[in-house]
Amino acid sequence: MVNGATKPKRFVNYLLLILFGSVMILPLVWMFLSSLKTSDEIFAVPLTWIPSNPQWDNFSRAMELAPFGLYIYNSTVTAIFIVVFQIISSSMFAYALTQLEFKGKNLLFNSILITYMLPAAATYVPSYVIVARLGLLDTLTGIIISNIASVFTIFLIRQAFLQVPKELVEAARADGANDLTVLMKVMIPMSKSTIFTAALISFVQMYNNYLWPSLIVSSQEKYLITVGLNRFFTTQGTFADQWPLIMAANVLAVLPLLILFIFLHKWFIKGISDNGVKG
Amino acid sequence: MTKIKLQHVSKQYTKESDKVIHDFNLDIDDKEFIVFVGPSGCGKSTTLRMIAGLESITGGELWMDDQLVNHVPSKDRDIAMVFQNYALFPHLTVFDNIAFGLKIRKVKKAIIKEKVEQTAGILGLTPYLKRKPKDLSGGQKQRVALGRAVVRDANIFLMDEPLSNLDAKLRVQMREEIIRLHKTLGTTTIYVTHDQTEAMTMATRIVVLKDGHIQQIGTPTEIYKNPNNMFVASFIGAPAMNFIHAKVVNNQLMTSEGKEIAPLARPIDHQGKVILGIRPESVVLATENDGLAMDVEFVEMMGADLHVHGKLEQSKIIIRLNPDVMVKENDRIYLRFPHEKIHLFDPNNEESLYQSEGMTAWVD
Repeated sequence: MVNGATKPKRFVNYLLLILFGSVMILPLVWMFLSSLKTSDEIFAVPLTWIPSNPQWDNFSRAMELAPFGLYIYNSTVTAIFIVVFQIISSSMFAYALTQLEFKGKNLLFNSILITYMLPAAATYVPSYVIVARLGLLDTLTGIIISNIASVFTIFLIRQAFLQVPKELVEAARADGANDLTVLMKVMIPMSKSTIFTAALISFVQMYNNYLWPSLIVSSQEKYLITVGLNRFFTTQGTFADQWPLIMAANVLAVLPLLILFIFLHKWFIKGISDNGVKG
Repeated sequence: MTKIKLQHVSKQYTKESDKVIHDFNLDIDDKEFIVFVGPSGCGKSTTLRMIAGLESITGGELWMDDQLVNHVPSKDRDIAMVFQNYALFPHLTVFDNIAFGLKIRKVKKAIIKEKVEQTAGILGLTPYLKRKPKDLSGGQKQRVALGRAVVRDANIFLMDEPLSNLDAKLRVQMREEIIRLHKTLGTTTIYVTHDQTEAMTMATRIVVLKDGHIQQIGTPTEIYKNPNNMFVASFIGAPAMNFIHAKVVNNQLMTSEGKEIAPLARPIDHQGKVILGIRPESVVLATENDGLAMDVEFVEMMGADLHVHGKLEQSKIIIRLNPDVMVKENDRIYLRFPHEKIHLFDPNNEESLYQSEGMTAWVD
């Protein structure tokens, strides 16, 4: 788009990109700046951007009001477990869908896709009953187990596996590889960027997941950060002087995701564009 | 010792579709270099893939080392396969690509290193062991693919058009390397190609295929000298064998217009129309008195040879002459067909009716 375009065209393109980029990042910036303000500054008219005297102790004060560290830990650990299990099971599933021949393969794949069309809320009741019957209510294991299967991840990895040339699989087989070896040594390494992307998307999704975990866990020490923030907000937030603390807690909550994205954004973008172009 | 035995092997992809391989019978001995050759779609690759275990066998039996292997999975057949598009793993270095099969078999690290280095030495890949496939030229890639087969000391090598993606010069070079490799290692090899030159130069025996049927099995010389039918005769040899409409009257071979060509060395059980086959290099120049007239249409100077294209009565003909002979467009030249070089084919079923006893004539 940018390459080869004339100068005014390029100017407009960049202007639009900057505009949209700013709109996207503004809330984040606002959140971060607000976390350093006093409550008076937050509601000051006319609005001030830069806090005159950064209140770094907002962070420690927020941490005292609720165990946000524990919440973040809970969220991170659950999300990591879910992602690991999802990638393992989805890779195996995608392998079966692309490499094995069995009756009803297409039917199976289509029925998986149909479940993706279902609104998540429609499955909450049956899923809740299953988790309850398993005796996993109010446990992190319950959240993990109920999220292990991901249609989206299966679909994404299946698309990547379809791109692996048939000859490579045949060459591996002729070299003595069984299904597991083909999966581990050929399919997964060759679909690395897609798998990274799937893992990242899924991590973010699970870290941000609110409604379902809030149904499963009830004791405070098992709160995920999303649930914890909400409880904090509803219990404390009606008082205007708590806003800087809420903002500080929010900053702490998005920190793991930001760090993750900074380290892995190359893979993220590659994974998305790879599938887009070759598709 | 019979290494591989194919008995009445057939292939059909679905019950409704036609067979792509019909009643394939072949015994392959230890250390043979067998070439499957034929036009595209003749079933040569399918047959190879059935032997490799990458394609199921619909009918018949496949034996390897006296063991029925119809249902043995590819990984347990002790074969090594080389593919047309190299099939190298892009995420692995040359070393790891070559070592792939050994690592899967859990060979000790020190042995893998020694074997890979030895293989790389044979194939001239030592300087490239740390590179990734994308940094190699076509020829180097194919050498790595060969290396992957060589390093495993597999029982059987299967090669599916391994040289088709290379340019002409490299192809000749790699052809020599594969021949040398086969001489050194002596591994039983099945090689698929559509290139008759590769078949002629590499094979101990050639299997000519067409539409899933074996046309002929024989050594390169046998196939060249005594083709079973017009298809084999035209497919093997470049330029291809000439076919001229002719007739047999009282054991005498004549052109369609009744000019005498040559007496037959032995009687044949056929009268009337025949197709006369003669290789371009077998034609001899003659004089107006004892030759058949050919009208030259154009001439190709090949350097070592001169290819003269033209018409003899109604049939197109190409002859290969010494480049010193002065022949040019629109000339009329006279030809003689030595009787020991003549092939006759039945015009109805294209089967051979008469083969010159060329073998003896050529050997002396």
